[in-house]
Amino acid sequence: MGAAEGANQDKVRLAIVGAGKIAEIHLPAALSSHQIEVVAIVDPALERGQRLADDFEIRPRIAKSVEDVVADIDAAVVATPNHTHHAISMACISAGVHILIEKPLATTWKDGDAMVRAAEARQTVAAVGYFSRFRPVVDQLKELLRSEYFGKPKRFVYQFGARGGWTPASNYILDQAAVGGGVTVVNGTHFLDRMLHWFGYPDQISYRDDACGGPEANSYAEFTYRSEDGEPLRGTVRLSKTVQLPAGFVLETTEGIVTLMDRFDAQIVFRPHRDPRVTHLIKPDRVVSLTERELFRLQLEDFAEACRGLHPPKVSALDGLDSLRLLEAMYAARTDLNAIPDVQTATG
Amino acid sequence: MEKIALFGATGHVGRTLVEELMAEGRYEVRPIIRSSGNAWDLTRRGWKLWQADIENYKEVRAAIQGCDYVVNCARTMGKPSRRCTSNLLKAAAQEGVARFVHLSSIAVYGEFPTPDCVSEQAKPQAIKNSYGWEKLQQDLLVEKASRNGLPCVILCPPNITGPNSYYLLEIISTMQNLALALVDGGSHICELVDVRNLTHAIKLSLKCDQADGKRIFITDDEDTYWRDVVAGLRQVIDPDVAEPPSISERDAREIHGRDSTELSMLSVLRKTLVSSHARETAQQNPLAIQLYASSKDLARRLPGKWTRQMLARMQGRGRVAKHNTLPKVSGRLCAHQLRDVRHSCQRARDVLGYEPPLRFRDSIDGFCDWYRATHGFGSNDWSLLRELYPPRCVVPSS
Repeated sequence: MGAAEGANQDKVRLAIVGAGKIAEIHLPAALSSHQIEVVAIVDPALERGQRLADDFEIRPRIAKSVEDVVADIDAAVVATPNHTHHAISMACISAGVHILIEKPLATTWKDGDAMVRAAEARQTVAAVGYFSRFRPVVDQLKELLRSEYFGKPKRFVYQFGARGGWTPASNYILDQAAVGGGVTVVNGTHFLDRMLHWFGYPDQISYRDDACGGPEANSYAEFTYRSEDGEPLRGTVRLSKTVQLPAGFVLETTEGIVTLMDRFDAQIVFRPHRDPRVTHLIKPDRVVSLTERELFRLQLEDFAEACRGLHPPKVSALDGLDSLRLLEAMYAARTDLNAIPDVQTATG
Repeated sequence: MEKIALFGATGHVGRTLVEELMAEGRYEVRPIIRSSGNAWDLTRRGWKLWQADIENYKEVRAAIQGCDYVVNCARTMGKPSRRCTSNLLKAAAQEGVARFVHLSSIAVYGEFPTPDCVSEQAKPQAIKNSYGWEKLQQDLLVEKASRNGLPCVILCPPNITGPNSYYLLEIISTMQNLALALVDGGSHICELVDVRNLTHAIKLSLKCDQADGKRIFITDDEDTYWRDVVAGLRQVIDPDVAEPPSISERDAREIHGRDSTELSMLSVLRKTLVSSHARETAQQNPLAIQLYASSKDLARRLPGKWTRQMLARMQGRGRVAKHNTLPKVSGRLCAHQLRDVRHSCQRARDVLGYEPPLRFRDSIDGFCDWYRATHGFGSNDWSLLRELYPPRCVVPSS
């Protein structure tokens, strides 16, 4: 039974493509959903797929390639190394299978655009795995910014820094071509997606990183958003895979300072200029217990509902394409982070 | 060109050594890593890396093949650490390497080394199963391999400083959290070694005449005090952050003792099972309420003073401790200040010709330059970035 016939069934028949580290989060999220039935795990290393199934005590079909299962699934989570997203996604789209692709959408804008067009032509759902968008505070902040609740934005900073950490099963992060970049792609795109969601596409970009023959471990980007009625909004993004930095976003507005840490349970914090001793905690619209697994479940539920035709996905492949466009513009503007002698200048 | 197999290439020391050796170009370097997740600083340069699980002898043997020297900067803990060290030594011996250089730690001499620990020959006093004890077991394996004919050097550093120093970052974080106290105003010795002084010693060890498998202290070889370290790090601490308070040595010992007690299993059990939180949590579960009521009933029926005390404790009564006036500061860093031993580098001078190339002042300034560049401290961004750090950052209660 193909995707078209299965679209209105009660449960979405899902394949997890790629049995690596990120699949260990997608799979339990999928298993916890009432809308999804995991019917297949796909990995060229069959034993890895079988091990994943055994770990979660399920008995889906285990297959080497997605072509082996497309006739029997409605949707797939593409959780494979970045450079394989395009080929696997196109195979799914051709068969009418809806896809949720782990970020980034692809390693080039050209490939991503081809995927978006193919999905539109075939009328299949194509979503991108920017799961942090499912934190309620992200949309809450967007609405508060739109209404100028905090006044007009003036400048922002974002930083993320972790000493190493994420170790994909295939070690493909050692291969820049396979990833499409370094820390900016692996970690930075989550924030870049949120930045696009909050502020749109920037008018000016400058970017520096420390790549020296391999994927960058540290990067620093500056963005400018022109304003029709005043000073432009300027922002910086600092990313590191060698230094531990408290991850979060800080925005200075005409009225005060807004902070949103990267923790799943973080609330928006506002410190007004008129009295910096006062700190406002903006309560979320709804109280939810948020863990990484819960965010992945929300993402999958949203995807499943989109597959059933109820609404478009919250984070579509078009959003992923915007992120790719921004990434390519950043890398095109690249200069060496280490080459700048004056560290004060280098960091603004 | 001679080849060096460098294990632990993604750690602080390993990474620094790889960078220096690659820049110097005198040796062909084989950086050996366990996991790609921590290898970013090396992979960004496009260098070829070797992956080997040092718990697996075959992988270790393959990694060492064709190499003239082995340098072990890998940090391993627990029982596997001895197996890992054995694998490295066995493979090095079978390959017939010219030198095996192993990184130990002054922790082998215990948490509070005795005054005779000025010299390497003092008796190690590390508590069983502690980090120092594990390092000591590794040292013993290296000494044994040396007696069996493998030329070995054991370098024994204190806490390591320099750019990316975990130790200095810990001190900074503790200061930002207002949890650092200076014992006797910071007048106790703070023994440190800049990572570049240590890598200098490692390079000297490759060629020194004496490789007898005995420990050699490697430090900055200066009289550095805790107040010097705090003053040096103050460059990269917000003026908002209060100066660390001074406490007496007696209070420092008590704080350290308090922190150690809190870690004991019995105190953890006591706190968790008899705490008000545990009782409140139990009240939300019908089965737990029933069990709680039954245990109270049982306790009431048992004779004796101790059962009455147990019942009183379960009902939220019991002995009341005096309000603790000791500041809530890091017991770990209090303990470090109580070490107060300056290990001699005489053997390093005699055996290696060691003279530290970097002085403490340059080391701490270099660390602060690195910190500014990587954390944005002092930049235009900092007025906003500081909101993400204690004490300004807000952690709301759920």
